[in-house]
Amino acid sequence: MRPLLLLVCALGAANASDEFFESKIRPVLATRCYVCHSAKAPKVQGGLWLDTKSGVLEGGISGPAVVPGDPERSLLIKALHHSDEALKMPPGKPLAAEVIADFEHWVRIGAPDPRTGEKPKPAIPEKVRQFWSFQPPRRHEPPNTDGPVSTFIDPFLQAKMREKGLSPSPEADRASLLRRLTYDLTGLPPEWDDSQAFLADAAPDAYERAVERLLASPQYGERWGRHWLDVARYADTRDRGARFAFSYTYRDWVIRAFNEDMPYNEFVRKQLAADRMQLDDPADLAALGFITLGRSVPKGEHDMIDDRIDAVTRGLLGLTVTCARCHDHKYDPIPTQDYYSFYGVIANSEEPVEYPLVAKPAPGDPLEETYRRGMEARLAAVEEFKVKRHTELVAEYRSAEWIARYILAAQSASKFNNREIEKLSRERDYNLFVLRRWRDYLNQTREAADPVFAPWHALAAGRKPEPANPLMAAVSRAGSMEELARIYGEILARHDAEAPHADPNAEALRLVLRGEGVPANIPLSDFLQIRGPGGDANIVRALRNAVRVWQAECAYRGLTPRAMALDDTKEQKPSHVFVRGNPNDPGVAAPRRFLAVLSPDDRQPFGPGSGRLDLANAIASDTNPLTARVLVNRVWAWHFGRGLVTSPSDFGLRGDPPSHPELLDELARRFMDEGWSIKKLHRWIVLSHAYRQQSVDRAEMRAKDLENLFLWRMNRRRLDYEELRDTMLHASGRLDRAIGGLPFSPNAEPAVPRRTVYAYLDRGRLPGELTTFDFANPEAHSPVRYQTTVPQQALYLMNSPFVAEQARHIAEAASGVADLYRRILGRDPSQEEAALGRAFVGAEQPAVRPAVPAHPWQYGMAAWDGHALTGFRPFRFWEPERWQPASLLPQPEMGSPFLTAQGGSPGDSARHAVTRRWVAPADGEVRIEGKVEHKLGDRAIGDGIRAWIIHRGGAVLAERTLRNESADLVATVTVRAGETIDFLVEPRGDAENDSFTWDPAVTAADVRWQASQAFEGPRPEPLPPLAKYAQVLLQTAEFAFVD
Amino acid sequence: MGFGALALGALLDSRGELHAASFNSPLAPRKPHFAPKAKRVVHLFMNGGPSQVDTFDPKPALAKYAGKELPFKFQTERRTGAAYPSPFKFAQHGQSGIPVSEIFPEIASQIDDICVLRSMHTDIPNHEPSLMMMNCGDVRQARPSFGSWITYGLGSENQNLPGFVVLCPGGVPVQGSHNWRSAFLPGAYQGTHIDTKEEQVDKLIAHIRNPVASLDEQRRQLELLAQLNRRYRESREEDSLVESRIQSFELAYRMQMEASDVFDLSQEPEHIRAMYGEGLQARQMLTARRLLEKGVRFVQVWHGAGQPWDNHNRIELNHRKLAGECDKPIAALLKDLKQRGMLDDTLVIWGGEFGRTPTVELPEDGANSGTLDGRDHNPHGFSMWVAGGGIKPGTVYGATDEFGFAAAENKMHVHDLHATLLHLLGFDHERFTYRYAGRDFRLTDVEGRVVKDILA
Repeated sequence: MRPLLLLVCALGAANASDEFFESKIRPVLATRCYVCHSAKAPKVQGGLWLDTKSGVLEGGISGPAVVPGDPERSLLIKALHHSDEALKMPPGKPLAAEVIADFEHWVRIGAPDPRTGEKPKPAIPEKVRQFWSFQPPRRHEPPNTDGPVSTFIDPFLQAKMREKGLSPSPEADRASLLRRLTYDLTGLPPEWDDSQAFLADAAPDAYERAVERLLASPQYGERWGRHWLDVARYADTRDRGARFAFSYTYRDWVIRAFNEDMPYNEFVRKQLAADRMQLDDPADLAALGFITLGRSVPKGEHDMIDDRIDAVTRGLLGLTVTCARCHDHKYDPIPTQDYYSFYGVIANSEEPVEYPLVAKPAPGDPLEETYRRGMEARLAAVEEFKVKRHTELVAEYRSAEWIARYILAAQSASKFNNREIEKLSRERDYNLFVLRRWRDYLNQTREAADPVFAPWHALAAGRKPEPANPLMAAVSRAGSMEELARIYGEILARHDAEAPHADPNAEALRLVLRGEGVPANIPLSDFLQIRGPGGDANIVRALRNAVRVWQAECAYRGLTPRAMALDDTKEQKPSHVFVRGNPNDPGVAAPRRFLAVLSPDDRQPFGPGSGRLDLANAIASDTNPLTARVLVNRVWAWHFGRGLVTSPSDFGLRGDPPSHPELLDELARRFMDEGWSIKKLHRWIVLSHAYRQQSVDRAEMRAKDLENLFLWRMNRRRLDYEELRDTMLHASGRLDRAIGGLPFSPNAEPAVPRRTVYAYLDRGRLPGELTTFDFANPEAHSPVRYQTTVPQQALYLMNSPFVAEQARHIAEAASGVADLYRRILGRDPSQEEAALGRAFVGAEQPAVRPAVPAHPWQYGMAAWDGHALTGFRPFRFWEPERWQPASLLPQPEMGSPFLTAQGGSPGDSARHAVTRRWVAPADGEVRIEGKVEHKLGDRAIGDGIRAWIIHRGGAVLAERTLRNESADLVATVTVRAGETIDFLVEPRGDAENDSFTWDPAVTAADVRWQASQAFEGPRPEPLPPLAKYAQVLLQTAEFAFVD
Repeated sequence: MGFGALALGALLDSRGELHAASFNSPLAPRKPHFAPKAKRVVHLFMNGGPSQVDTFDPKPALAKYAGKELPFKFQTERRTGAAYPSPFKFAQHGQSGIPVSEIFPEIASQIDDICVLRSMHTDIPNHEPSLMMMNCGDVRQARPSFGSWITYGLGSENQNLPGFVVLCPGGVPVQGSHNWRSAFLPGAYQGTHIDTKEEQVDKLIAHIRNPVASLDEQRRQLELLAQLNRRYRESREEDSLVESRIQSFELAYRMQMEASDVFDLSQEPEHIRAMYGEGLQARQMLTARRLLEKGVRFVQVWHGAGQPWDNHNRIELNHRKLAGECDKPIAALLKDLKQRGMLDDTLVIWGGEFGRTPTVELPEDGANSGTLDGRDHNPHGFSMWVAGGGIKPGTVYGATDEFGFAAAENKMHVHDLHATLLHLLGFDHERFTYRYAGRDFRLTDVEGRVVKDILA
């Protein structure tokens, strides 16, 4: 009987409270909340379903909506009160006070809720799953056509044309065709001999053979590798000036992969997870640069991860996943949880401190040894600082004053949600990490009836604080929480000690500050979370940065190449949704797994480690509907100037639908079926009639298809910046075809004649001409390049030293007007054109160098052994505002020698001392004066420099060793015309912090030569008539456009 | 053909959204959503962060607490201590009676044209993110700058000069070109940085002058080029991309002369030069006016390289010196714009990336050379002022708390400032978007409200 009776009672009680729910709660939920938070909502907001009991208890991405029995900790109640800026529900005016009171009562009595039914599992609506780009691509039979067909592509295009009343154009003439093909596949114009041979080649497969020849040339990989580097937002720095040590190994890996026709699925897998794969060649680790070489700024770790997610998802999948960082994707089926699944994969991967080798160092390479020692010193400096400051900071957190401050704040925050506690820390100057620890600790001690904190919780609850611990007698005197906090602070600080106390009461107090996991016992690994404001953070960043700077210094000095690799972190941290993107407000868990829309319903979490390998396999899969489509569309766009899908990095619901869906599918399917070979894909495209047709306008076609969406002709295109620059170097015969290696500086004069793909790219500080000519901005993944026309482009061609220099070289190499045509435009001039050219050249005056007086200064480096100065070499390159021996520093062997108007820096050894040399213009006595100054930076590393004044390469007039000091060096000497005086600076034992200022002056009876006043870059020289003519040809539309 | 053929008018479509595409005349003038009050902008950037309680937000209550802890304190970059009253005197000026610190006597004389914003606030107490917020509306991610947005939305009135010009003497501010970047907008909308310490025009705009060839020689080259291009064109049809490229050489030729002209201050009459005074600030304010007059859409003028107003120590000495440099030139710029009738449709913005604490910064290693006479960064509350272009003159908007630590009344976030300025320029900040990476981006992200109270 008894059990039955109990049951009846329980039912009775339930009925009463159910009635409360039915009368007071449900109607409000139904009328005010269901519109966004129920099965009836067009789109459920915040993942919160209020139409089932389980939905209320599980809650949405912010966590449970209701904590039964505790209204203060229930988000739903908080939202109704409109007290949290970021959480006001329902939107607009708050509900009436009595309604809110009902809800509070309901939660307090345990939130009884008779509703049944499960919170629906989030599912992708079937209609969305059926969206074209989420469906696997299928094979399609080419439609019938009576037009010219060269590959399977043509029938698809021609069928569409027929539908639209359009027709294809005839094949282009052979010269245009070869120029188009050669630029397209290699980024360079055809060689004169190759084009003559091609024009004379009557064999039916002449074009096919040209295609094969070009696809096999190493320049192919440089061109197409560069296309991929746009996708990969490649640059040589993280952000302005912050160099990656080995970015070039990724760039070279990409170029090689294209040249070797690495299957695209393998290409993708290696770029995401080479470190998790069995590799035949360790050089493949460099592929991970795809992830690691993006933009990052100090304190921007969440944005760095976001950038990496963006490169992977837009770059490889054509999906804009990063739109879901703060809320579900507005258009595509990408919940914010999916974003944080990706986030977990990337956040659980880290760049190793030591980058792995991709080649074997030469045995006994002294640079390796120098590198190793430098690394040890720098890593030790980081550790040392951390330990020192950690000790100091933790001591502060254990002081009476700070304990009092934090426990008082923690008490007021006991029921705060993440956002509220963040606000408190910000507005009242608490360290958020420590405050949270105290908050959690106090909550635990309340629940556990902890003897030390029992009086605390007693007073907080309005009871008298009665201590159990005799050492805490003072607490009973406290009349307010403030007073009590102060007393706690004093007691706890007084009993703080490193070693345990014998007295158990004292020990209990000591453990509050020293026990395992207590708030003030902060492990060193969490140092960055508790660092003091300002200064410390900057110092740790600077010290860590010093490690990366050292790696780059050594890399540019020729350290054996290494990979900008990625590892899984040692321990995997679970990832959570950050509510509205706020990392201080973690919500529900987001297990590492693939996107819902591209997964089966029973989606499994990724396997061990970060999950990157699983992610890579999911992307580079035959069953992934997007990967192949996105790639073939990119390749198509790079050939034709526009993709079949014109939003190449957005295949989502708001992207542009394909102009030729069957063709896109057929290309993607075949591409996968035939081994993911990009070179095969090129052949299908460039051998097609569509590609080979003329670019000539046809008015009747244009009337029907202005934009040439249906490819009734080939698109004319303008050379991009790389093609423009490379072609100018090519025309003078000076193009250096060396492949790969460290970059060169694109700012230097004279220009380094390497291909533009090897130019040093400083993220956020690209050379102006790259920006002017619409180069891909490496701040982020670049789906397409803009094509703007601005007068600055013309100014560059009219006035830049680079173009003038190339025009001069071309003219010097050319035998006359006709030869200029061959070199620049790849054809012979007509008679009329030749006559025009000769007339122009004949009428121009010969170049006359303007009469500017020469100055007696030279800048260079030399070896100096204390007795004889040998091997003086003038610096060859002007890198704006400084003279140096190479376009980019440091360089192997020598380090970073350079001279500026006011000073400079010596190379790594006395063999690379820098010298500002004065050559006497006449006989006579001269007086020499000037102050040398050497300054160590903030980090007092380095043993200083030695400055010398040397007459005739051997006679020492003055000498001084300096370390963080300055000195006047003066001398008087009689010189004969042509004799030299060298102002030489050499390093001492090490090459650290060796920059100096020294602006000497040489004074004769009536003249004074001040070094800084004469300092200048290369003097521009007027162009001879033929070079002026060459410059005009470089400016022509014919040069700039490819038909 | 292809992308290039997009008609200019199509940049703004029927929904009022601007479109990403490639275009032949990216700087052609365009109309915004509705009739604008302001047609151009000059932003006077006091980089480093001027102190509000020493400039436009007097706080007598600080004197009561001098040397004592304030009752509350907000989190800033470094540690600060007791209340630190302003060493400067304030007096009321003009009809409006708005109080201004003694360090700005000349600006004070123009106060009736100014609207002081005392309740500005931003997010982070570090320069880099706050500069990015003020300029690009986002603390860290690569977003287009305000000037780029405006130039993109309105084009420019002068095709022979860049539409967005950045003046800074002696180098670049912290974050350098990020402050005026175009990010995902085309490169043509990026600010053109000009070091106003340089006097030669060829240091001002890249490749603006040929180092050796005379204009006559260039003319002859261009004549030949035109002949060769004519032949090329004859054998081909109309192609707007080819056409605009050919035109761009003539444009460039004219730009060489116009640019030399605009930076040649000797063309100004003596009394105007005297009004601006001597020194770098005078020169760059006058240059700014000449650029605006020539039709440049957006001019940003930085006080100097690095972060001159970042006075963690010796604030009395430093603030007095900095204000002394720019006070007269800024007042002259206001007067000069007004006497030319340009102030009515020119927005003048003055301010830093954040403000400074009313408390004294504590000495710390490697922070402030160990003195007790400076103030730390403060994003919680700071002052700016705006004038001209549809702004209500002679007013004060908003207030900080009793001590000037945090914005308290009518709080105005940087997003709100952007929304309001865009409104004056004819844009609904919520509709002024650019489609990129699947999202319609805005300068104001998902925030911002137009502060109607400061509109004339």
